Amino acid sequence: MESDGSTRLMERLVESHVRLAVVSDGCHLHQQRSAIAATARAFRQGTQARGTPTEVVLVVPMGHEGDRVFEEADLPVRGFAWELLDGEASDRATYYAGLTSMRSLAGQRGSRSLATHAVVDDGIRHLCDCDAWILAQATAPAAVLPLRPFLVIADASLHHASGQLPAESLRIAAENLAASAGVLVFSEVMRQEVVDFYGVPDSQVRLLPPLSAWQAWEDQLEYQMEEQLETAVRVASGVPEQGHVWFVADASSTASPMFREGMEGLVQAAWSGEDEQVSLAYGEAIAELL
Amino acid sequence: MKTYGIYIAYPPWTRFEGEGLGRFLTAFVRGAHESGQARFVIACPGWTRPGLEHLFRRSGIPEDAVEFLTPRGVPGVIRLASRRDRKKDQSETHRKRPQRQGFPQLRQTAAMVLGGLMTSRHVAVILMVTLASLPLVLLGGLAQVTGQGLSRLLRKPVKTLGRLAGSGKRRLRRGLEKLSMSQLMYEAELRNVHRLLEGRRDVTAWYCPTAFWPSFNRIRGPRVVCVPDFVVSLAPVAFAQLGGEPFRETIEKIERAIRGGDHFITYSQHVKHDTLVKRFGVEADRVTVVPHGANTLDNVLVAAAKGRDIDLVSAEFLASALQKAEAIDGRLPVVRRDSPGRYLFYASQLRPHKNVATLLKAFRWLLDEGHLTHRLVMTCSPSMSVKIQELVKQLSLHDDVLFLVRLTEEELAACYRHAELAVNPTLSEGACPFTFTEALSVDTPVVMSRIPVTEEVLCERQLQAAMLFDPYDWRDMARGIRQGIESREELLAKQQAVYQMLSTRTWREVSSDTIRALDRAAGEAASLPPQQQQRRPA
Repeated sequence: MESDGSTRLMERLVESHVRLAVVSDGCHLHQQRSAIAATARAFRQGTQARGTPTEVVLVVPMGHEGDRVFEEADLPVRGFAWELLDGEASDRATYYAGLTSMRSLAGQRGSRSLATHAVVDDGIRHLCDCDAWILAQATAPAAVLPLRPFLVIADASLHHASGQLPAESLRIAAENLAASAGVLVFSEVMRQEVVDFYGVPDSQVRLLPPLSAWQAWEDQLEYQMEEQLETAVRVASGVPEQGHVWFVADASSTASPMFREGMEGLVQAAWSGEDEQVSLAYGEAIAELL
Repeated sequence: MKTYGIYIAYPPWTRFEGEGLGRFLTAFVRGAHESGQARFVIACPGWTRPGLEHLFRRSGIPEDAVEFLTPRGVPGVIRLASRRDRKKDQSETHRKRPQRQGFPQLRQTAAMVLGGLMTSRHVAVILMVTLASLPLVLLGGLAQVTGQGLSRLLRKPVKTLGRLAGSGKRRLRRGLEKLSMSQLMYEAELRNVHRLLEGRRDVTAWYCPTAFWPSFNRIRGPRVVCVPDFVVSLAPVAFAQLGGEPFRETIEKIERAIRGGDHFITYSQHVKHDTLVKRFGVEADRVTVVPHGANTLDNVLVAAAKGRDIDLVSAEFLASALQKAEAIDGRLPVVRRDSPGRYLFYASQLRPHKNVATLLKAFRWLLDEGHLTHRLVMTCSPSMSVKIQELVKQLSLHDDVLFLVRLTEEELAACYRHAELAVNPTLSEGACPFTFTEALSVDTPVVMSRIPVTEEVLCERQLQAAMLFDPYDWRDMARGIRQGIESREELLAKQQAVYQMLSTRTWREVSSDTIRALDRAAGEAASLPPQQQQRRPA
């Protein structure tokens, strides 16, 4: 259902600029809001740094549009609510969007029976004015109807061992990851999780240097080490009290040379600040998508 | 003088007076007649002709301006049903009858016979055949009652069997093509129309003013179909929720009409490139862009005044429009009988691409933060969208927004004339919205959304900056509206200069441009080898 290259090129020529929606439905905590605003800004800066400026629209739950964090991000903000479409309506929507053929051409008699899908209702065009979407969470009330190509950010909460999400959410997340044009991760551990557990081809997963705002948010997650345990592990490993980063991974992943290389780059990126190189990595991710 | 054909294939009981296509046809035929360049013949079903004749008469178009090519009279069934229909409430929705499936060949033969009977012009024949078939109908009824009794007895075992048959079979059964009685009659009447038009060798080329009718492609000979727009691709989700499967069938008809088309007319470069070339892969040189003529409303008020004072007449029409306000949950804004005070005006139906929700958000902000004391007057019915009703309640706009419905052209003109500012936040149109010329014709300035079709026509950068806003951003929309109100006189002066230029494009010119496109199609068809000239697309 993904548009081909020539269609996307025409779309860009006709509309003369590219618009990207960064959708986040997790905005309850200040850290979450800061993380999503920083990410959206990084995508904008990154595309500018690459010389392909992209308009980035921040899409947050209805009622949060006026939040100070988002206003300070200096990005257009829209409110949204998830809306569910039954199978027939989903089928019609994909046909109207030009992603599937007329029934007579497709050799179908009657309507195709699709499953229920989730769409982002922004009160305007369900984000169809945007050329691509970035879902800041892989979860939604149902699999997202892919009316535009989209990337998914797989954060640490998506790790099956983290215990953050119920089984149903993991199932929906898996469907969204499979339907996406690519998955963005901030760690090698999550890269392996997305490939091994969710079955996404490795070529579709992109490791991005995490922004400090994301780091702050992930620190809030429940798998954060308890203080006593942290001290014990640190002392046993000879890690100094200050200037270190804890990264939780299982034994098999830490044994992998790829993981160690990734870790090295990750640590460097994490402490390099949100400089141009970091932004550029975000810009590259968008360039691949479009 | 050359003769050109116009193809109309409305199903029975379609109302087109006062609708977009009705207005277009009137303007087009009048323009063509005044130019004296060409003769037009209109091919249409028998049931459409009386309505068209009435429309042309009301618009002062002489009878000899067009020739009708229709099967003689109106089918008896339509006449009988129309008599019955008059007694019915217009708003009654007809329940869809379940259709029987199976025996496709027998059904096709029966369809042909029934279609022939239903398009018969003689009521006596219909009554005789009906009486003769009465015993058969009674026998059928008896069999049906017996069958229903049996089916009740067998329901449980049949259900179990059905489940065993699996979902594939159910899908197949559900998906089988359904034929309705009116569809049979429609197809049969169209066959009659096509038999007639095939005999007209004098027609240089045929023109279809809308893409709703794929049957147009059955015409052998040069054809040009007009594709005004294809808005479903703009808001696929909202349209998927609107109208369900019957609406999808209409969209598929449009697609079939386009895919089987030869030459095309659009009203804008944007629809040409974005819809026809990009989405449907039509070659660009087979598409001619014919921009609209200017739609003005000052003439409507002048004609209605019949020499009386225009201000007085206009105020009367505004008061009459205010009587047509539609409430939400029984609540209406409290307004004076003859005026809503200072107000913003948006003339539009309530469709997904009209962007009413964003306008309401911008308006709420203007009331709260922008120190606006205006009302917002719209011409759509809120009953068409539960979401809009909910939004009005959520934003507490009951006392600030007026929905005026079923306005006459005179009332519409008056609403424009008394508005402080006309607003059009639409996300897409087939051409530059009529709002611009309609509002300016009665001296009201306009702010509009920045969309390609508008920028094509209003291309002056300075003017764009003064009157266009981003329709996807309610903050920018609010800014545009506030700027429009604050610099109203300056904006009006700038826009009047452009309006004077745009209003020189008459419908006579539109007709001439259309005729040129028809000639081009005819010229290209003539240059093709004979076997290709006779091709008949599916």
